[in-house]
Amino acid sequence: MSEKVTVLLQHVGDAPILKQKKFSVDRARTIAWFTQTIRKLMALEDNQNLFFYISQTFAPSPDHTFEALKDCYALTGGDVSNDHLVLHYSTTPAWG
Amino acid sequence: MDYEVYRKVWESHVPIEFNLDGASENQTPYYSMLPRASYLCLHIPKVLRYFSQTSGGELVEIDAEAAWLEYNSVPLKTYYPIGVLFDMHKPKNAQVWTVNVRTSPRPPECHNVSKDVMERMFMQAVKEADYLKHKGEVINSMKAEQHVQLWKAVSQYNFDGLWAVIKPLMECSPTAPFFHIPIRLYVVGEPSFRQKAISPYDDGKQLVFSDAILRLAPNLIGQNGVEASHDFVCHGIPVPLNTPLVYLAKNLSYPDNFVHVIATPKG
Repeated sequence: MSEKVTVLLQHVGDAPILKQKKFSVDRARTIAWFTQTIRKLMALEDNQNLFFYISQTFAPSPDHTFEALKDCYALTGGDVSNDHLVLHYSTTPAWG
Repeated sequence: MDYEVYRKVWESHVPIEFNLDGASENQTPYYSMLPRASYLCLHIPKVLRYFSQTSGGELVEIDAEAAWLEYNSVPLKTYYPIGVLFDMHKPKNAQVWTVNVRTSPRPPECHNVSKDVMERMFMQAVKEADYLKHKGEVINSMKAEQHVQLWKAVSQYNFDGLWAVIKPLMECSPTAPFFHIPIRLYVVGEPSFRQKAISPYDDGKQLVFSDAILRLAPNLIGQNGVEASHDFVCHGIPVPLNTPLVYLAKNLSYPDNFVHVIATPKG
């Protein structure tokens, strides 16, 4: 079983566009950790927000692990090794 | 949904003692009975007002944004329902759960959760739960005023207001069954909850609580639950292992539409 989760990022609205869109994230990491990591990559100011969304529907809890997110929301690419999680990101609230 | 069951669960309160860190010896704690279905961040202002007024004659203003809560040297996630925190942290042999109010610089991982942030997080949880149950169709078909009413009912602790809007989110029918059951398992000592895509049926057969626990924590339950090393509690109630998952989702969900289950070691 893979210890990493493949994450594909897609920007929404005016969010900065990252060169790297595909990330391999340890299953035990949380959305809170990932948010801090991507904030640093984007060099966001303290007063700027960063929101992640799943299925363009809801923002996952900061305590969600990537293991749980993969099990519940990953898209399959034919076989398990191609499973990936699509996260949309925005600097303003996008879907409520 | 069973009105009587849901109402009883909603009315459940837990005893919490708040102590102000660094207060004088004469400072008496703040005791309260708080609803399980509510959130600590909604009650902190009242606790702080009490300490401001009772701190030995001189009025000390405590900034709500600076205060944070801690139990056993661990900062509390005030955006978890009170019932979840209580079942996770209250020592088994104690009647009351004791929480420390701290005003020293907050640890970096402990963000201030204002009422507005809480409302946003609550609504996102409702959306996630509905995405699992109904592919998000029910929450999306509700009007914006109904979303507002849902949070208002929770933040003002108003059962009738909640009952008027929450029912469509909690119901399923033979023609519109739940796709998945929004259930989170908190194993005491682990930093995050566990969650998986759990269907309520398998090959037409109704799945029960032990099926969900077997998926979420096979190491804690053993074969058929006989050798379970943990107790599984929701709203302080040990959940019978043969409870149908659909019943749990309809009647024991917190207002955010998730069934929050706490696993504590037996004994």
